[in-house]
Amino acid sequence: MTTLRPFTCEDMLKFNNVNLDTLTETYGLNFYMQYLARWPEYFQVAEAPNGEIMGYIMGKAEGHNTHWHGHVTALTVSPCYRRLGVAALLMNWLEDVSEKKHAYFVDLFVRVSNKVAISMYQALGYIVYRTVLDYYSGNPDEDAYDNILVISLNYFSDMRKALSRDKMKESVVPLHHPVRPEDVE
Amino acid sequence: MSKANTDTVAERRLRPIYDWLDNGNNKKAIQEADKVLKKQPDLLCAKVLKGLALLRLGKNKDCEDILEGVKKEAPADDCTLQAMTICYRETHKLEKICDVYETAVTKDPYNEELNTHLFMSYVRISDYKKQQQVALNLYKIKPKNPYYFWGVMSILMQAQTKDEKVAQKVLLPLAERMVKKFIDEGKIEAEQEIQLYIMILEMQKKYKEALKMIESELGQKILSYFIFSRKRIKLLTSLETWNELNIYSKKILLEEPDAYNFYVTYIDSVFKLIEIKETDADIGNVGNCNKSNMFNTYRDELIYPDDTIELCVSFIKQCQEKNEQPHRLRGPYIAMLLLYKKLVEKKYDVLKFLGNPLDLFINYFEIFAEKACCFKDLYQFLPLIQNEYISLLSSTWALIKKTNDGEVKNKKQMMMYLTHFQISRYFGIHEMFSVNDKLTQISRLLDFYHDGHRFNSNLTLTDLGSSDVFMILVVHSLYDLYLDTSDFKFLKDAICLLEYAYNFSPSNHHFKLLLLKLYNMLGATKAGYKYFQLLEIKHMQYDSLGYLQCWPLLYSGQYSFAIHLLDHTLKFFSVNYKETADQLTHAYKYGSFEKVHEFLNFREKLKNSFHYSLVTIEHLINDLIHLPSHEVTVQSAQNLSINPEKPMTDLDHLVDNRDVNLFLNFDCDSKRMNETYAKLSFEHEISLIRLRTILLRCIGASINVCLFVPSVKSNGVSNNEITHALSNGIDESAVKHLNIFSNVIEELKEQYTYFKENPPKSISKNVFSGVEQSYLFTYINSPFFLPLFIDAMSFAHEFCTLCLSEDCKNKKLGKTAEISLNAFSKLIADCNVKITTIQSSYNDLCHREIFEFFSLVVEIVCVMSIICGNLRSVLLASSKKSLTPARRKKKKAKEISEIEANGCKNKERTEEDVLKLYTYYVSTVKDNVKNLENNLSHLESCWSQLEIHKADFEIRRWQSQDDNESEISPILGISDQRWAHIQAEVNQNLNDSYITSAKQLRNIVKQKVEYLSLLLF
Repeated sequence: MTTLRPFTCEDMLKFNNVNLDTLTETYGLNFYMQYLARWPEYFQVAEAPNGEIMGYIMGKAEGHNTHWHGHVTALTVSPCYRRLGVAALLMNWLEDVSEKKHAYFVDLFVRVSNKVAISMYQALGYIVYRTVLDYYSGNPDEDAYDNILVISLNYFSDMRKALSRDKMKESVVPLHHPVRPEDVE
Repeated sequence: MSKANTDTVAERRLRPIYDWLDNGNNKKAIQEADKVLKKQPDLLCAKVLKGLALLRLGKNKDCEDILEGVKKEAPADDCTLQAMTICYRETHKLEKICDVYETAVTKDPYNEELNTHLFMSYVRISDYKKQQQVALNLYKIKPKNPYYFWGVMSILMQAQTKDEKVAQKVLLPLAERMVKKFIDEGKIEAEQEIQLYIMILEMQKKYKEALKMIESELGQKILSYFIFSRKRIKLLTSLETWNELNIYSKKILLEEPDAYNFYVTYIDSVFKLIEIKETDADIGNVGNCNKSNMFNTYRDELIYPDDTIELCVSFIKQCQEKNEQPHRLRGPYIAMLLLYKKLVEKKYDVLKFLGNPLDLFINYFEIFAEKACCFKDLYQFLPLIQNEYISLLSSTWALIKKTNDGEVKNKKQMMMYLTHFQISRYFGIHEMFSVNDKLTQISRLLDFYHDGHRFNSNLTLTDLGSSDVFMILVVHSLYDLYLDTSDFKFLKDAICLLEYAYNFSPSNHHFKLLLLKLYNMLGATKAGYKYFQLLEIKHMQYDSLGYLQCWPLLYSGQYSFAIHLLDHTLKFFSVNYKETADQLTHAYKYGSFEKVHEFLNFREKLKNSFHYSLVTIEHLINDLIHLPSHEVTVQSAQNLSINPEKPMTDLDHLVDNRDVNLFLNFDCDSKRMNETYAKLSFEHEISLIRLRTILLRCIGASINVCLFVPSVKSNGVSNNEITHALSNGIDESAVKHLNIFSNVIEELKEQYTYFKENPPKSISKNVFSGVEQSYLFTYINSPFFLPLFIDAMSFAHEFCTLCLSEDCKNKKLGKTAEISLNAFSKLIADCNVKITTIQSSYNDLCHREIFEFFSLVVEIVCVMSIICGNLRSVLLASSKKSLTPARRKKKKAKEISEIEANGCKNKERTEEDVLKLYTYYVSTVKDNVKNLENNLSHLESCWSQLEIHKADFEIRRWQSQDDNESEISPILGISDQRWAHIQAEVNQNLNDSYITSAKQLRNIVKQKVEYLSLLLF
């Protein structure tokens, strides 16, 4: 039982039961507002009937030519509302938006150690496209936002799902060698 | 050299400066800039970058000077202007950015880039009129769509700030025409442009036109379908076209049977349609609403609206039946409960339409009890069956028993128990229990908690334990026992159990929150702070959750952590202003016009956060009163620029941004932080701000009096620098400041009387949430704080008046001094008694209250010290060098009565009397403070010397009556050894926190002894 609605600034004062979870990072105002200003349609909240935030998704569209794609920046669901299909609902939304923008695929990064998340994404049709070494500590863009670079050796799975525009499914042919963050576009 | 060449040279020269700045090496950046300026003295950008480096080194004034110089040169190159923008943004002088770009644009009026920057500079300061002008100029320079729509949006923003009439008659029609023109000419390029058009139409309540727009070919082509459906629902609701709304929401619900908001819309529309039908029938208008029995098929349902309860029930049932996924969706079932709630509200015969409503609950329980959110889902509907809760609980119990024979076989069964216990708590079953019953219940819940560990085998450390919520129920029950018995043991037990459970489930933030709360309740705020840090609270959470730890720390003497937290909080708020302004420009840049408003409101919301105000005030007070000497205090008061004449913040605009419903809670509405309580708590905090502001202003006013005594004001207050005193009676500015001072004291008195006569209503202790009783109560319930504060300030005022006037007869002065001194001495004596009590009966005392008491004592000690310092300054300033400091030193304090007896016969005599009184006053205060310091050192050792305290664990004691104590208790599930270990750890945490608090309190008192010693001649 969910209401999907756009994330608004006020939600930043109320998302604590979602964000206090250890795996969810709280970023500075700027980070969220930058997404709200640029990709508002990609930033959605799943709200419970009692008004609580069940979870939210945050994403963007980027890349050129056949690399034009939707990207999941953050997806999180409060412990109380897990196993209800909320994540699938939110992912579905993001894929729809990306379809509308004629993107070729949707991708996301997830810690290799996060088996639960990986199998969930696999169930949603995502494949591990490649492994990225030390993703967060190598990405200057993310560096600006506090201490997400806690663990020095972060291996990430770059997962992808092709959208309808990629008829030959070229975007999801897996790479067998891990790549360094500087090689990730 | 050509111009292009000069540019590249300049660029090459500037690069190292940028690099140093980026690396945060500001000193090197300055050196580099100086080097460049030697070679090319007219390179403005280098000057500005030097200014920026200076700014970042804290030399604001130097930076300002450089910028003023550069500004006069009217720069028009991008590098310089960008650098200046950064400086002005960092110093929050956003309007200056407009100035420099305005100048630049006059030099180069057709420059697209400069004009864009000018536009954005107006966006930062919300000058909509100028935004509009620049946007339309830009469109003339380069006819690009975004520029045109920036102009439209600027008009829209004017409409929202101007009065309604102008907006509706002039501005909005203008904006509408502007977009319409583009639509007609086929120039629309982006979805946002249409969205803006719909915004304009909605603001004019032209819902029909808006609906037509989104349904038009252009709308269909350009709008995303998801935006389309939401917008359509919203417009149909505004238009009150219930038929269409009903049909449309059904259509969506058949596609998305879990979408709660559409059920709400759908059910509302059904009742609206029924209403209309009834009114029509009343006036004899048999309309077209009798189609309900004409159709049965799915297709027909999407053509005709549901205008009877029967149809509504059958539609929701249809949704339930369609709901055959591997995981059943909760939507259609909650929808039925929602309909039930509506029927009760509208006084329908529920039984006729839905059958026994109890079945709806039982049905929901049967399907969803295994979900962690089942109780939360049912919560809003439970009040409806208040009278039948026993039937409900026996039914749910029967359901549980049906699935198992007393033994929990799987996680699903465990979750059913959990949901059952939650519902049972909601209806307050536990309130009927005796203490022993409650202990039995706790053992039972603990049993479930331990039993549930077997379902955790494949969980990682970042997952929450399957049975963690049972532990939370245990903690709530122990809290009940504490409320019943006022025995702190139960809270300690709860802490021990939580520490135990936290080890298994370190990611459970509810455990951390509870530990934070309970440690704080026991006055061990250092231990609470550990969990505050483990929660990794940061950024906007300082505003929404800072209240959890800020005030407990401050009022238990944990000053270093408290100040740290206050600093970080203030930093967040000051950065916010800059960042939101930047993001506002991005909203325009990317055409997210709907966000413009939202961003502006959010900026205001943060600016007006009451927490921000309170943190600012407490930070100021603590900055001021914790200083080592009076000279520094006076300097600091000047720097802090406290205006004693008027309050710093406008209290009417303050808002409450706290997240007060963070804690898991299974109680009914009256026992949680509901809206009424939240409002009450907010009012308390506002009153606290009001009170603290007056106290701060009062301190500020008392310092100002001595600051503005003519001889003192120039160079701070060192007695050597006092060269002349008042010559012609009382000085004008001194009179002014004395008046301000006396006004603030009066204001404080009024406020105090007001609180005495209208004591604020407190929130019941059985409301379980993160919000603790406001510290407003600490102040107004303190028998000594405000009276003593007022008395001491009144004495200071009289003393200053006497010193600063020629006519210096005041027989009352000695008495006023005596009143405040007596009260102070009595307080210190009380403290000593209290400390002795603490040493003897450590266990039974509420440590939170102890530390609150001492933190107020310390605050009053600080205030008394400042007052003494002020007396000295005024005294020195008023004396006409007739007494040199050397002579004064020899003078001994004599009885005040003597002063009174002799009266003021002449000027000289008076001066001597005043001096005596001063010395008497300050030395009495000092002696008392010294005395307090001694006793506080005993307090500190009281915790370090005490043997580690053994808390009796009530549950264990209760159940070990028959059990063999040495074995692992099957019910508690924790071995004696383990338990003893946890207890020792918890006691260590408590004692460590108490000792740190006592130490910090004593340190300040110790510092004040020094402070006061320096004041004596």
